[in-house]
Amino acid sequence: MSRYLVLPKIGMNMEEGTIVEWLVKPGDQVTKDQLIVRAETDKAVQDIFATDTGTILRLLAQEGDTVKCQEPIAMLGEEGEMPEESAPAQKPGPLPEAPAPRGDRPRISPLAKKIAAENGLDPREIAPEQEGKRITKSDVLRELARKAPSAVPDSAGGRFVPYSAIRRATARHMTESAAQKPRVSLSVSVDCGAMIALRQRLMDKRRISYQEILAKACACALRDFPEMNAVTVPGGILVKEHIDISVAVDTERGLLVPVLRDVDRKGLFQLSEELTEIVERVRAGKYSGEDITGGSLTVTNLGMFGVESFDPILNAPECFILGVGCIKKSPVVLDDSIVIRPVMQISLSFDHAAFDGASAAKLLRAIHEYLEHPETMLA
Amino acid sequence: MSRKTVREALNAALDEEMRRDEHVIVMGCDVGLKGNPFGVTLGLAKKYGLDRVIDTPISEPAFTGMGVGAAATGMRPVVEIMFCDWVTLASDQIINMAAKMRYMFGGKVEMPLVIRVPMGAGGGQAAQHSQSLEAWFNHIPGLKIVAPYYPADCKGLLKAAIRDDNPVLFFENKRCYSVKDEVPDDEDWITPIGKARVVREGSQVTLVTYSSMVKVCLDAAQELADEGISCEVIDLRTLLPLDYETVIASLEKTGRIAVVHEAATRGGMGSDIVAELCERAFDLLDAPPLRVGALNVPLPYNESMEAAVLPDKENVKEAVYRLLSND
Repeated sequence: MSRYLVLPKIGMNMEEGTIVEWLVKPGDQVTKDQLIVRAETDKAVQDIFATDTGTILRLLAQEGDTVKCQEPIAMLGEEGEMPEESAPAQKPGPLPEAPAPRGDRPRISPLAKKIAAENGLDPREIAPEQEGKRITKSDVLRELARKAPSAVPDSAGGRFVPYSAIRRATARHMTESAAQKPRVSLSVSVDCGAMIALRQRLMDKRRISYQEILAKACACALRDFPEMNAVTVPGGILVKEHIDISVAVDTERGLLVPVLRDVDRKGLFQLSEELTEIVERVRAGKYSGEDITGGSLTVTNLGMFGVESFDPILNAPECFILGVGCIKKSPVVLDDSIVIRPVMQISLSFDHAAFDGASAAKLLRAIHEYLEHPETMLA
Repeated sequence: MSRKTVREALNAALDEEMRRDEHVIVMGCDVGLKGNPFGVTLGLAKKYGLDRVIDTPISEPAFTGMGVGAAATGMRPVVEIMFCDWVTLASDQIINMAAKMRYMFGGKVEMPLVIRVPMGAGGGQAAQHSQSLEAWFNHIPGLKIVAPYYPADCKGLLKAAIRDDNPVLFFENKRCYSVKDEVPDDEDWITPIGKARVVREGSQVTLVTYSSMVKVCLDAAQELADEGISCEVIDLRTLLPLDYETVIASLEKTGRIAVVHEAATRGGMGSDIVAELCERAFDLLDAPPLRVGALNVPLPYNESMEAAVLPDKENVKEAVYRLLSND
């Protein structure tokens, strides 16, 4: 009697995974919790561990296949049992512990299924022409035309580039956030003189970036207003004990947001080390879901591109995101005279469903204070 | 070109081949003096003598065996089984002798044997005079099977079969003997064995058929066209070896297919063709491939009941509707 290894759900938001690399092959002996496959999920390439013990009889998902959580990815036999060459590669129905209803598997013609697969389309996203009918080629083509209107007319001379798993996740995440979160942005200008001086002094000992200083300032501000160190959950907010700050990082694989832990309690050097290490891992794709989830505020910085200010979209379920512009020498009125100061625009976008403008303004003012007087972060 | 019936086209093929090659002989019940019950061999005995157009005793195993022996020893016999139903009597000679000899003797024996098998129901001939048993022989390695519909193909394939060094079963439908169409007069013109022909082009559903059902499918396709449904009709002409290339090329276009034949549906050619398509062209299927054939019952003598058992235009149309329903 064959059993199955399933793709476990290892993150709150994980719904599916794309098999990146199998680390075992048919005939291999696996034990429960052994690392067997690497799969790309919402935002991370995750290490996936065996959900059972036995001999791999057959891999049911190939590299590149996208599989729903709790769906089988390998057929498992008893220890010593050999893979049967001619056994039908049929996927089993629902598994008892995680019922994925059989009705969930759409009726789709082989031709339609093939075209959908070639275009990275999940058959579950395709509606038949009429409820209850089989999904056919024309239904797939209709869905493709709807999803990528520019990709269908070849005459436009364009080229269809399907979304990668990360792009799809970002697209879904951003669209949902923009549609569901009533977002308001507040902006202030920061005199960066003290912050630049601090960084210069620290740079004698170790290279640090403004990211760590920004993250630290946000964490200190959240420490001052602990009720805002929260994420949204259905029907309310969850106030967190630890102050963890997400930092947006541009990678070749797309936008990824690693999380620094307990930022309020760590020194800038330590934060710098941790950030360097995690960014390296994220860029190399060697990270897990834990590395990129659990923050309560995101810092996103486009200053290096000369962007002066912007209002970022919230990184749900977080309630705050700080958009950071470039530091630019600007005329500033100081003691009734115009002086040239290094000035940076920061914008705090917040979830107005969870917090009001006055609260967010207080938080932004605190961030502003810490950035203009970074020595107070020591207090 | 001249306009000929199937009967005349078959007669012309036999005539031309007998004139061309003196080794060609015809044998069967009533083929000589009477010119066979359907008039297919009419006039041949007069022209070539009763030595070459041989009236045999009424024993299918005996005269089929004679044909096997004659073919093995250098003649090119055309044996006639008057009604397909009685091919069962000759099955040992066909299956164990004709189909096997070239293989068992390492190619040292040739088997240029043609067995003409008039088949088909209609007109209330009852259960023992109405069957279409071509699928049985499709199961036998070592045979070729043709089942043409058009007069030109009947002539061209009979000539090709006579010139072939392998045993060929030639299924002709009794009800189609009077079908009339243009037939090439060129004596060297043949229809190659193993090639199907698209007889009507279409884009939504492929109807694969042969023999009497070609007409039924074309009629159905015409009526469906009036309803805005475009069907492609393929006349297989040869059943073994079957021209899957043409069938799959059509399926690539339509994604939907039905195989239509007069023979009983269960275990018929349709079953084999559908199975082969599922293996070879699964990813081209946009709907489950269907079979349209006779009901799985002995053919009734009563003509109304016989008509109810046989597939007709309405059955073909229903299959097309079903293919397009996505149910």
